[in-house]
Amino acid sequence: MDDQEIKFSSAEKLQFLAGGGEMGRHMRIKDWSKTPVGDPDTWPQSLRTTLSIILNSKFPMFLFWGADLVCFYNDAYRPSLGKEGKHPDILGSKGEDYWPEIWHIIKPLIDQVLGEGLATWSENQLIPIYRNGTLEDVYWTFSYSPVLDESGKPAGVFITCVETTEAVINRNKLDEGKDQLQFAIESAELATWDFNPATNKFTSNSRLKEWFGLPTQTEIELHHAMDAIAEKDRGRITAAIQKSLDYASGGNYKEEYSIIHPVTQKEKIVQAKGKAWFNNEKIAYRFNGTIQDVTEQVIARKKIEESEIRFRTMAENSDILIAVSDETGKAVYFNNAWAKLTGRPTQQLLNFGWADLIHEEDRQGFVDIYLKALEKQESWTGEFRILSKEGSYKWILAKAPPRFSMDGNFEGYISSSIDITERKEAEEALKASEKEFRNLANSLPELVWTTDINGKQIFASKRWKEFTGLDPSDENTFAAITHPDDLENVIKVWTESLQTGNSYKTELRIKSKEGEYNWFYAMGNPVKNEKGEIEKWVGAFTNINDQKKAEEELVTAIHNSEESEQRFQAAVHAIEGILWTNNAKGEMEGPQPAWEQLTGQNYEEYQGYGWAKAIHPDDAQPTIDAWEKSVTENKNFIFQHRVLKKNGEYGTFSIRGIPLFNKNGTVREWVGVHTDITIQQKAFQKIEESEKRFKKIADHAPVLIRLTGVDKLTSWFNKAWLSFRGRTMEEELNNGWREGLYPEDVQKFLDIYNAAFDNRQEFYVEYRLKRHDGQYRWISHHGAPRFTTDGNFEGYIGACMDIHEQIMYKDHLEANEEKLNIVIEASELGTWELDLKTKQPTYSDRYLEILGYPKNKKLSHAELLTHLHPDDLFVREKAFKTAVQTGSLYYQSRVLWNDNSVHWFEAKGKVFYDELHKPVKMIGTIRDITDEKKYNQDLEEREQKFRILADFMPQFVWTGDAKGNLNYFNQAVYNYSGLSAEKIEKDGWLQIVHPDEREENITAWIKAVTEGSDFIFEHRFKRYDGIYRWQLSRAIPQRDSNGNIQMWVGTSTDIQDIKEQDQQKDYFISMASHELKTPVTSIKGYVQILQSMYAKSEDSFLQNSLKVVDKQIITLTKLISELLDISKIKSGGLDFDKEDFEITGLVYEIVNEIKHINPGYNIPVSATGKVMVNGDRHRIGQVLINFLTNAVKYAPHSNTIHVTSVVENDKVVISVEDSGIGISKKDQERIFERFYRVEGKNEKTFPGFGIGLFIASEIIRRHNGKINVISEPGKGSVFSFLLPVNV
Amino acid sequence: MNEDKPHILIIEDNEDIMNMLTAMLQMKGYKVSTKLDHFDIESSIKELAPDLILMDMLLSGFDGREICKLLKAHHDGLAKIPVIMISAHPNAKKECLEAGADYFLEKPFDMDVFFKVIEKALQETN
Repeated sequence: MDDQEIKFSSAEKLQFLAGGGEMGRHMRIKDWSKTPVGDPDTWPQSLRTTLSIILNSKFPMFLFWGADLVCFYNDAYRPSLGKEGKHPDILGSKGEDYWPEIWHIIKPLIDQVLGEGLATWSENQLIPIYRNGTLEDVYWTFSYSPVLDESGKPAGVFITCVETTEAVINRNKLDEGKDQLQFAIESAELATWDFNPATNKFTSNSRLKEWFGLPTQTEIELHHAMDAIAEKDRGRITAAIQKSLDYASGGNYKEEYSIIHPVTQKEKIVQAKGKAWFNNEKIAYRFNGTIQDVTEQVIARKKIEESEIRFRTMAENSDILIAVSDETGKAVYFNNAWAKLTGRPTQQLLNFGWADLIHEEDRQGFVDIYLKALEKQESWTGEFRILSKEGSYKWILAKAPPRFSMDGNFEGYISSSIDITERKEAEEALKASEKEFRNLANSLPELVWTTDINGKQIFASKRWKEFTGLDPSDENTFAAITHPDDLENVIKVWTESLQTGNSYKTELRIKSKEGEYNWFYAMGNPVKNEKGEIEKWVGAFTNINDQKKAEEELVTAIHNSEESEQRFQAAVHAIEGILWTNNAKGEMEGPQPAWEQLTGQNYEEYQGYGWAKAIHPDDAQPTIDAWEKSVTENKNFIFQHRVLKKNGEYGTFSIRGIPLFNKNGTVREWVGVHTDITIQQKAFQKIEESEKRFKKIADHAPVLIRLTGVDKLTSWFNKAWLSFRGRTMEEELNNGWREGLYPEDVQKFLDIYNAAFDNRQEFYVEYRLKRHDGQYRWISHHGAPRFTTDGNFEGYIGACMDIHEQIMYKDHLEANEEKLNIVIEASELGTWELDLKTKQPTYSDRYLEILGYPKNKKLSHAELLTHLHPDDLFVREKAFKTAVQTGSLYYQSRVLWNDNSVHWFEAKGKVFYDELHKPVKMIGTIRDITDEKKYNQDLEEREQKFRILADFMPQFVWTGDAKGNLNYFNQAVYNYSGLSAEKIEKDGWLQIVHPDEREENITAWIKAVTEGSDFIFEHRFKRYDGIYRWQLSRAIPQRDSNGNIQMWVGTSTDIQDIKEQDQQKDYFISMASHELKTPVTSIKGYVQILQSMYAKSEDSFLQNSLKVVDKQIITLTKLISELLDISKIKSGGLDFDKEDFEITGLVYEIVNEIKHINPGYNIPVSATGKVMVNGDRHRIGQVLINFLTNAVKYAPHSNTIHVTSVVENDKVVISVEDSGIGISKKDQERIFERFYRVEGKNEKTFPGFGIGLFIASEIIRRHNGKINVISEPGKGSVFSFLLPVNV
Repeated sequence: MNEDKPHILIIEDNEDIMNMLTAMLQMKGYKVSTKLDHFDIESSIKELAPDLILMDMLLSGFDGREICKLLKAHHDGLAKIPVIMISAHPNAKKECLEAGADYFLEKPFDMDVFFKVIEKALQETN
């Protein structure tokens, strides 16, 4: 560049402008004279120095100089001005002219620097400038510093600046990215980590620390985190981290493992993802990533895996073809067996995909059956061919029961199907062979028939029926139509054949339907199986009536030799056979033109037995044997053999020979006829072959086959049947096989079979049949009627298969579903299903009912929620959350019905997961538990009420359960005893009871609880201060409506004070009585002294007075001792001085004493000898005295008292009978009570405290005896006591 | 007073009873003593040498049972003197007999019974 070189040389002297790259050149070539700074020569040194620095710096720099703020800048700054911008014109120009867009920003900074002489610093300042043809947002980091001139004053502003636009934008982007990441992390509930391989420490978010149970400090040693990883995973994770830190691995890290919280020990399954970052040395300097909690997913995944496995084992491993359809009829599931059969993925079969695979001929038929069943929601059975993967069609027998939900809604079908191709093929083959046999049989002129092995006819050809007009099913057909003269012989021959299994041949006359007898030639052969066993008989009757007639005529002719030769010839001619004659010895004699004609033998050859040479070698000897037999016995000869004809072929002939007799009865000669039956024989053979073929097919079919005749009886079974049954043909024949029919199935079979039979329809039936091993197996039996070509019914062919497994499986499915339904119905459960994606619930009617909605109401999830009790919404929400984790749902909630009544329900459910292990569906039940809740609430309320009441009671109140365990004490118990509830709970309530009463207390309580009787007991309870006070406790059992004890409620009342008063009273009575006795003693003493002294006095007043005083003193004494006794009984101090004594003597003693005191009374005693008893003689006497004094007292108007003593069963009974006022029933019950006295208007005056009987009863009781009273008011009383006799 | 009649010692602190008993016994001609040196009972009884002792169970300052035991514990004639104890306490019979009394009479008693017991006790001694 010449121009440059020139300018350069002109500015050579400007040394300070040397170098500086592009800008240096610009500076040097610039015409500075026109700029405000003028020519560089004039520039001050300070400017020069500054510019030199600027130009030679690689750092972007800018300078505003002088008052005009002229612009200078260097190469490094240059790019910031962009293209088509200010460069290069701005160089040497006024700043204000070239920076108008930012002048308002930078001018204050410049002024500040120039004014104050201080530098400024700005970082990432947005200063948009005009460049690249537009105003751009440009970020700068810059410093403004003053440049001092020679005078030391700021003359310019030196700017170093870096454009940071890109950095800022990047950083902003990063920030944004960071925010987004953070957000993502938070919302995904991720834990994050950042590991520094150099320090082996990492930082993490708080979530990770929480999960791993780590300290809160910023940097954490890696091993802390590793410790929280489950032991089973730790090694693997360590290796994975190491691998990721290896450059060769690419740095990617993704692992799933368990962490166990060090404190809670709770396991969490997490998935960690991360990436390692490598420096140029391929050393990892950073390794960071996230951790996600996948516990729920993993659990869910495992659950679904398990349920999958269960389902697969059930359906997939089955050989049976299983399909499920929904309520619209669409197939929604096919098991693997279907895929195996069809060779197609089961998805192709879904909906109605299966229909395409059905054979064209069967498709419409089956679809009709299916749709018809679907419409009626009935079960269906169908047979159709389906295209298999081999390309052939397979016969399928499909059966399906309808499925119903618990509320009776139809839900579709579960079908189970089996391959019945083999059965079908066998059936078809059988039909074909049957048909062939029948066609053949019918086409023959012979009457063809078959019989079973017992000779029972099971088939007859068309001609048989035409001739006889009979059916094989008609009874006794054969005997009825056989000529009586022939019957015996026929039966004999037939029986012999059946027994020996040999073929038979005979002649017989059979009656036509017109009633005419025709001669037939009958022959029969057994049909044998591979083992040589006879399975049936095939026979043919050839009508030989014409021959027979001719023969008869011939015989007649021969008989009447006078008859003309002509006639004989005619007869011979009439017989379409070969006539021959033998002599009486059975040898062929004389010319036999017909035989000669047939065999080509000449006279010499056939004479004698020469004819036998023309017989087939196999038949020759049997013929000779039979012939000789006939000749010996003079009986007709009937035979069949093959004869070598002169053309060299064998022909089959039936032979009949008849002896002709002389008048003297001897045989004159034999006449015989050979009839050619070759054609018939061949036809017969064909029949036999046909039969054999049928048999062969039937025997080789894998199905059980049986044939039945028009009589409904079975005439034949194939091998498969017999081996299944393990029985012989003979055993199974007719109805013999029914032995194996399961008794319960007999009627069903007969109903179906008979109905089908009568209408000649196909039928299908399933029944259980006993297998050879004794097991009953389910059999499917398909019966098809057999018809002749001309449409005559001939019976049934039955093809049976063992479908046991299929039935069992089906039953199993049904049973399970049924069971579930029953459970659901019985428990009155409502059922529901919730699609977790759409939140759309489906539910049963019962569900709606429980929640208070009418049937058929459409309910949305949201609406349902609004009806739940607000307090329970949280419970429910929590339960659902838990359900997602654990897979099962449980909660109880209240629901507000539209009538504002509150009802409780209990919900249970199970979560179902999709292939991605996400919960998709919940299925569950709800149960109305309102009553339960109400009951519980009532109970609680009642309980509450009871406690409040009880706690306020001054008595002790306590309750016990049905078994007598005390479970509640009121506050009074605690207050009194000073014991805490815990203490009583721990050491038992018995600690309160005085030790002396504990044993008896327990015994009494157990007795009450065992017997359910009221408990009454007196015992002392220990007070808080250690003092015992008497309590009267009573407990009553509370019974439910059934009378069962539910609980015991007891009270204890403090009777200490009463008890004390009672004791004081008793003590008083005792003391008083005692003190009374002393004065009475002296009074009595003196009275008796006086009586004794004045016994002979005549002063009657004195005498009487003393008597009265004495009597009253006796009474007084008695009263005192009674009072004393009472107090003793009360205090338990009634002592007995027991000894063995004789009681009868005592009775007399007492009676005498009473008689002495009451002289006006007559007291007869009736006693049985001496009786020893053990007791207190004095006290027992006291009882008797009491009885007697009572009798005197209460029977004032009678003067006889009877005393008896009787011994009964080791007991002595002593009774006192009076004829007094008697005692009412009511009084009798209480008369032995303390202080009880019979009160009466007229009897008020009787003295005494009424305690005598109480004491008496106490005495007797203490002697293990019994006291009793029998009385009738107005008639008198009998008081008695009973004591054990001392044996 | 007939010297041949048996001598009966009455130990009774209730004067009325004592007088009544004395009257009854004298009516039948018995020799009766009622005075006793309470400070030396044994010696005074020895001195009196009664044929029978009639003694209340509960005496002021004494327990009849103790006296009875004391007497019966002697090996000389004292132990042989029959003792009839009297008490209003029916339960006392057992204790009295245990203390060595030969008979027991419950107050109040019938005169006939009283004499029967006295006679019986005296007969047994002879």
